Amino acid sequence: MLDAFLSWTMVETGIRFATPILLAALGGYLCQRAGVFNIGLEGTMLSGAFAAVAASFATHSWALGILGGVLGGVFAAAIFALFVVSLRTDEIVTGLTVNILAVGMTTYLLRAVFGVQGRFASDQIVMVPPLGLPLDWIPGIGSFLSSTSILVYLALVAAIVINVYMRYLPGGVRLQAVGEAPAALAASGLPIARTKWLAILVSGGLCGLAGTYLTIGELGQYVDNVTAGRGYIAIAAFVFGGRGVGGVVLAAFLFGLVDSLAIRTQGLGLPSNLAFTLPYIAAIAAITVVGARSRRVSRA
Amino acid sequence: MDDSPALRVDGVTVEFGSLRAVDDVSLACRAGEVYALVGENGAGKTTLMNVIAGVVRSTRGSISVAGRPLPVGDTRAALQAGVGMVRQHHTLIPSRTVAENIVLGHEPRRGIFYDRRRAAELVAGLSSRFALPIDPNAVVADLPVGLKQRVELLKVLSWDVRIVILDEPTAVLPPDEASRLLDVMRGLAAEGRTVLFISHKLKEVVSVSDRVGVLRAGRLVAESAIVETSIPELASRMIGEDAAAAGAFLGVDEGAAARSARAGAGTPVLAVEALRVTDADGKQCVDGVDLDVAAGEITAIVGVEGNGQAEFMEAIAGIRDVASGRVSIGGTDVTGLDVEARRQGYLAHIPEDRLFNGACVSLSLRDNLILGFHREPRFRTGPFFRAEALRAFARGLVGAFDIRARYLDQPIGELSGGNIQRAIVARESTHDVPLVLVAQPTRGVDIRAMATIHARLRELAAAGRAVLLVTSDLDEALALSHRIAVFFRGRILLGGETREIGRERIGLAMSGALGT
Ligand SMILES: Nc1ncnc2c1ncn2[C@@H]1O[C@H](COP(=O)(O)OP(=O)(O)O)[C@@H](O)[C@H]1O
Ligand SMILES: [Mg+2]
Repeated sequence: MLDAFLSWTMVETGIRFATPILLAALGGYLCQRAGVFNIGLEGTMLSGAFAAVAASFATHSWALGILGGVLGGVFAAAIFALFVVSLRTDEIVTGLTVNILAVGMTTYLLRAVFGVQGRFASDQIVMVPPLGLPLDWIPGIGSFLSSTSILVYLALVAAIVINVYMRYLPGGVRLQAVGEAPAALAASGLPIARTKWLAILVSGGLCGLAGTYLTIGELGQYVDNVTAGRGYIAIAAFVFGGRGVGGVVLAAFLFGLVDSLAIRTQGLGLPSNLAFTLPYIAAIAAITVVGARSRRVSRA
Repeated sequence: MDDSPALRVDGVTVEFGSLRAVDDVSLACRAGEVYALVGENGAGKTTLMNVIAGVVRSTRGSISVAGRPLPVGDTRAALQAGVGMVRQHHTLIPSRTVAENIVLGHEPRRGIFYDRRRAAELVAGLSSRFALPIDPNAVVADLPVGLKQRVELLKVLSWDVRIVILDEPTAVLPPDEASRLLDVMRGLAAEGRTVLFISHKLKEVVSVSDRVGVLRAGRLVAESAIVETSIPELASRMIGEDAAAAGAFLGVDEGAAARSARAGAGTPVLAVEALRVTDADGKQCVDGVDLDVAAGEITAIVGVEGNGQAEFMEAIAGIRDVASGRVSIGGTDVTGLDVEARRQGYLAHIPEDRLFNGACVSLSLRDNLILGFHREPRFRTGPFFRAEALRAFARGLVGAFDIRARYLDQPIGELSGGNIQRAIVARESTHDVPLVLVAQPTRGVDIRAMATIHARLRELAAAGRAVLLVTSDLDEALALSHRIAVFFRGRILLGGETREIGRERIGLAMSGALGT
């Protein structure tokens, strides 16, 4: 049994499950640095997932499918930014609205555009291919690394780029300032609203990639509410991850592992409903830990 | 050479809705001049400076620097044209280093990357050039207030500004740092820069500036060379009353007379024994303090901020846990009692952070005034409030303390700082308790509010209460107190009768230079 838990397959599944969580969590992380708590990751991701399938189906190109997914996410994020930044509505209410709106819109469009309900599958949907790195020789995980989707590597690249940006570019300090001390930016004559807009749009692109991965990266079809709460887990991941990108990556991977563990336990004959609640339990645990931590700090 | 002034403000008016915060102000400053702007809270000083620095858009009027007009409401353009402002409230990123804060907005780069080494060098260069020592790599959150202020000033100077604006820079500084800042200001002027400076401390204004302008209700009501005016004249211009009336507000030194009437040393009202307080990081911030305050006596605690005074007060108020030691009030050990129990019959508290701890900003003035009295039977019929009784009570306080609000139900957060503070002092000093704790009661309030508050504190002592005052304004401590205790690193380094302790020894003790 121990063997089953620690097998390479589990790590592989963990990475696959972690990829969309990581992409969305990176988006949420950027927003949080900019002082915006983006609870709309879930809906943004769903919007990207739908757009990716539609674009891939229409153009027979996986590259344009990815572009479509990114634009779908950016579109949802633009709505969020318009209300939260420009019209100053409440970010939690707006984020939840984005989530609800995305479910409604995609369900409607699925019927209106493709004339189907529940799911849309077609051999015209072109999947994102593996990157095909010559890594087969690595024992254990090699064949996975060489056969896994481009999008998994893209998630990793995104994490590295954001990390470099936050640490080594002036923009990183400015972005941090937007969230932590907007007066500091204002005093240097730097734009606050524009920086927030930018962070939210980039997070939209990342959520779009996350949705793209779920559909034309993994499933090859569109299923209603395909994101299934991963946007919320992504929130837990960036909250749990803390101030650094490294923490976000680690948290996303842990949640991915828990997710794959859930699948494993299913194989062991535990009730599947229980298994599916595992990620949410992990998310609640994470938020409780962070909540307790921040309470201690603020009481000091 | 053209002879246009370094800065010209021409007919500037700023309206916020129906409120005219700045009303047709024109003035001009030369290079090499320190120009002070004084006025009561809400007179429009900050707003006017914000217009000059491009933070706020004026409704009408224009600003020009060395003859060239400035674009309206553009901070960056103002900085690039050589106008920079140290604001009243901090504008630093706490989690970042001094260097990162100073170069924010014009960071040195290598390629696309942030060149942190050059940033640190730049800051070290600025720091030595302006004789403002600072560690470029220190994290801002760890710095004391005085150094944060220094970072703010260096940040403005890093843009090589010709016009330096400082909005109440000395309000939070201990005396030695304040006088050092005044020297820096003179130095900047001597280099040919123009320094514009806002302060409530008229002594400072007189000692540092060349000219002074007085704002009242948005209008520039007087302007003169500093040698042609005097503190009483400035005060009377600020409040719009004659010099004799203004003199009453300036009675900073009448303390001496009041002090002789000090009550005899009976049993102390407040007795603190070997009090130790540990902060969140496990540091001993109060390290074994003994202190008594007798009835009818004002004891002032002074010291550079961050030497344990604030924690000491909070421990007495019951807000902060005590590591060891004893606090007794009127002979009863209250060490184990919580805040609420201590406020029932033992003490009243006028806290340092008036907006955060002293008032509930979204509640009305009336509600804020009755907080703490709201359970008393005279204001209740069963579970219900007796609205008329509450209003009458609140109205009484508003009258007695000259609190200026448009109406009794106005949210207290809309009042000016001085009026909020009057309201808190009114409420807290009305509680029938033997001990009144007061922290920084006049920080940032104008002379009129300061006079009301000082008078009230003296009355309290005269009526037999014990008053414990923490202040970073040494003049205030000297004017009000019977006894003074100087805190340094969590201990009382110097203590005794105010009239016997000299100002110089207090200054030495505050910097830790005095042996015990
Ligand atoms: N952004 C704003 N919106 C509305 N009213 C404001 C704003 N800023 C300042 N005021 C009002 O303008 C007046 C002048 O304020 P301020 O310039 O801060 O005074 P001072 O610095 O002299 O104490 C006050 O009545 C204040 O309440
Ligand atoms: Mg002001």
